This record gives sequence, structure tokens and C-alpha cells, in this order.
Amino acid sequence: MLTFPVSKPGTFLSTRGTGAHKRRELETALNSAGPAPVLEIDFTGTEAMTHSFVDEFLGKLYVSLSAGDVQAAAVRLIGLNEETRESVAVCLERRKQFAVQGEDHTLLGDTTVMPDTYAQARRLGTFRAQELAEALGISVTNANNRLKRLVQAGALSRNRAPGPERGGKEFMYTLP
Amino acid sequence: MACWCVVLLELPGRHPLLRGTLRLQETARPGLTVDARHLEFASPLDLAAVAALTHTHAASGTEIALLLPERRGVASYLQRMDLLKHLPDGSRIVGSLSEGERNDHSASLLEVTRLTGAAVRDVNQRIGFVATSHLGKRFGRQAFTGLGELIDNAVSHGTSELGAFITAQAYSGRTTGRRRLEVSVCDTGVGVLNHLRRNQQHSDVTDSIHALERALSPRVSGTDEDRGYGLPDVLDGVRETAITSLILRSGDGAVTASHYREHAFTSYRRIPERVAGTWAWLRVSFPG
Repeated sequence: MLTFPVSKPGTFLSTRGTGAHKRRELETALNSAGPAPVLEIDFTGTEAMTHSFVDEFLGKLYVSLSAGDVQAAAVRLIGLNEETRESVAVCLERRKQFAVQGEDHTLLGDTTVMPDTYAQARRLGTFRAQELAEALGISVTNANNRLKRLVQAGALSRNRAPGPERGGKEFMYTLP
Repeated sequence: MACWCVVLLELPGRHPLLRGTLRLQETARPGLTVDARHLEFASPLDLAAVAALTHTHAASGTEIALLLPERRGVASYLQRMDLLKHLPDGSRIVGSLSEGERNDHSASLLEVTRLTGAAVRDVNQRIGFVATSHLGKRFGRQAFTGLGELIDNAVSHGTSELGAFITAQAYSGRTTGRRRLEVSVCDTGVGVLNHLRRNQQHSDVTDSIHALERALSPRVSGTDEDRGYGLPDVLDGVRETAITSLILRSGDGAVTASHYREHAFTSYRRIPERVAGTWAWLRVSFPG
């Protein structure tokens, strides 16, 4: 587990430059932490932050995670207050991204479809795409698409399933 | 060299630059004279704009003079807000100042401060402190989320060797019933038009008013990245709880915009005197 404190208590954050600097700090810490740790980004003490700061810090971090440029087994945001939570939600929604809030495992950002999927995934615990598709009454392709996004956002982990049921590769999904 | 005289107030009045009454007049005297003798009240925009304006002129070798307000209280206010300290080196200050004690008002104002990338952290803390001390935690944080975008604009797009200037003042609202925070950021950069035209997508924009109009729309940026929510966020960040008013001047264009809940007012106008860089003034008024 790697916990990254965003700021000291009572801090106000603005500017893209500051956001980019903070992201580089986090990526350095992540790369030094060994293979794919569970990452907690701790906003405790951050009073307020502009959407531009959040976009440069978190928005681009999630892009890097999706692209595999940086790796984490899971990513959770903790310590958000009402206003910083709103900033995160607005920024990620604009980018069609989402993130997991650590305290209550809710999703922030572009949450049009994902909350039900994520809630079902949490009920299943460890599962294959087929099982999620059946539980939600959707196609396996649709389930795979949603699972891919949840993995990219650090909400779920996936590993190769022990043996393919119908040939090809299959994954087991777990809650980190 | 051209000789100019800036008359801050052609008629006695309040916050002249906020009212858009900047007049540059040719005179026989050399240099730039900021005539504040009849100034009655200075808004944050008046302070930050005079700092930006004098530095812009001084950079080309122009000598600067400031004629202090005749009203002792107003002159003291300019001094208390550190405007005199932020005039270009060698500026001549004409008039009398009292030797007043300097009280700590860090919870209600931010003195004129040079805004550079290196100063952002301190400025954020000062502005955030003023906002939360005066408006309370919730409203103060909300206000910072919007006004912080003005700081970003100035250091990201308004950069020049001269930097930008920021100042803020909180008002109690005893007479209006609404607690207010006013912030002004005046930069000495390339201005909104030239910044936007750096993006090929906006190369069709040829005048400052059109540039301001476009800059207030979401996803409009001088970069080729998908961003450009800064100014819309300044205006809309607190529109559910606060009346937000924004004045921008850049080049020969100016815009006044005001948002509150479902109400929005925007007015563009051409101004006779061009502004180098961008001047911004923001006021958020929360219920008392």
C-alpha cells in the first residue's frame, strides 16, 4: 500500500503547473514503490483546489494509468471534503473518467453506468466477466467493456483465470 | 518618446478603472503620470491595474510619477495596500503620506502582490485565508475554487518578465447584507486575443471583443489540449449560492459578466485605451 499525501493541512491548490508538479511527485513515488501497489491519494488537509489543478493532477494521472505508463493494483481517493470532492467529480466527468472514493467505495466522476456495475462487482467479490454479465442482465461484451474501465480506474484488479473455459484468455476480477 | 498622462479620475469618483474610465492623455510633461489626486475610493482592480500599467510603461524606459490622492485616508489606503511599494523602481511619488501604524488585516485583504509561478503557493494561502476567514469554510472554499482559475490564467497565459499583480479585499456587507470578496489580477502578458490565436482552431479571431467572447465559452483554449474551462468556472463555480461578477479588459475589448442561479448578464464593449495584457476583476457576494 502506498499512501500519497497531497498537501499539508490548510492548503489551497491552484494552477496547472502545480498540478503537473504534484503528479510527477506521485508518479515518482509510485515507480519507487515496487510492483503495482495499492495507491491511496490522501487529500486530508486540502481545503480547496481549482478544477484546472485537479485536471492536471488527477485527470492526467488516470490517463497514464489507462495507458499503462504508471501501474497500481488499485487507486482510491481519501480525505476529500465536500468542496474538493465536487472539484474531483467535475473534472473527471469532463474527461469521462471516474475514481473510487476510499471511505465508502462510491464512484466519483462520469458515473452514468458504472455505479450499478461497481456495486454488483463488490457483491460478487471475485468473479469472471460472464458472472457479472448474468448478474446485470447484459452481454458479456458489454460487461467486458465496463470491467476494462473499472480496471483502468483502479477500482478492480484482474488476473488471468486459472484455465480458459472456452479457449482464449479469460480473467478473474477481484476487489483490491 | 511619447508623453502620456493617465488621469485616474477625470471627475471625482470611486473605483475609476472598475468603471472603465482609464484615459491616457498626451501632455507636455515627460513620462507617465498617474494622477490620483481626486481619487475617492480604490477597488482591487484600480490597485493591481496601476501596478501592471506602470510596470509595462517603465519597461520601455518611461519615467513614472504618482500624484497621491488629496484625501489622506485614500492615500493611506494606497500605501497600506502596498501599491507604492510595487511601483517600478525610481518612480516619483508626489504628495504627503502619514506615518501610520501597520495593523494586521491578513484575514480581510491581500496587499498588492507580484504574482509569479514561484509566488503562487503563498498567494493561494493568503487568498484562501481571506476567503475562509471572511466567508466561512464552505463559501470560502467555493470562492477559492473559482477565483483560483484567475491566478492560473495569469501565471499560465499572462506570463511576461514583468509578471502579474494581484490584490484582494473582503467587505463585511453591513450595509448590503451580503459578504463580498473582490479579487483583481492584472497581468502584463500577450492578452486574450494573442493567446487564443496560438491555437490554430481560433486563428479566425481577429479582435479583442470576439476573443473575450470566445474565452468565456467552455473548452476554448490557446493550447491544443481539450481544456479551457477556466473562465466559465470562475463565473459558474458558485452561481447557486453567490452573485458572481467578472470584468475583463484586454486589448481594446472589455466584458462585464454577472451570474446568479438561472440569471446571466453579459455585456461587451470596445474601450478607447488598449490594455497590454489582461486585467481581471472578480466579485463574489454571498448571503450575509
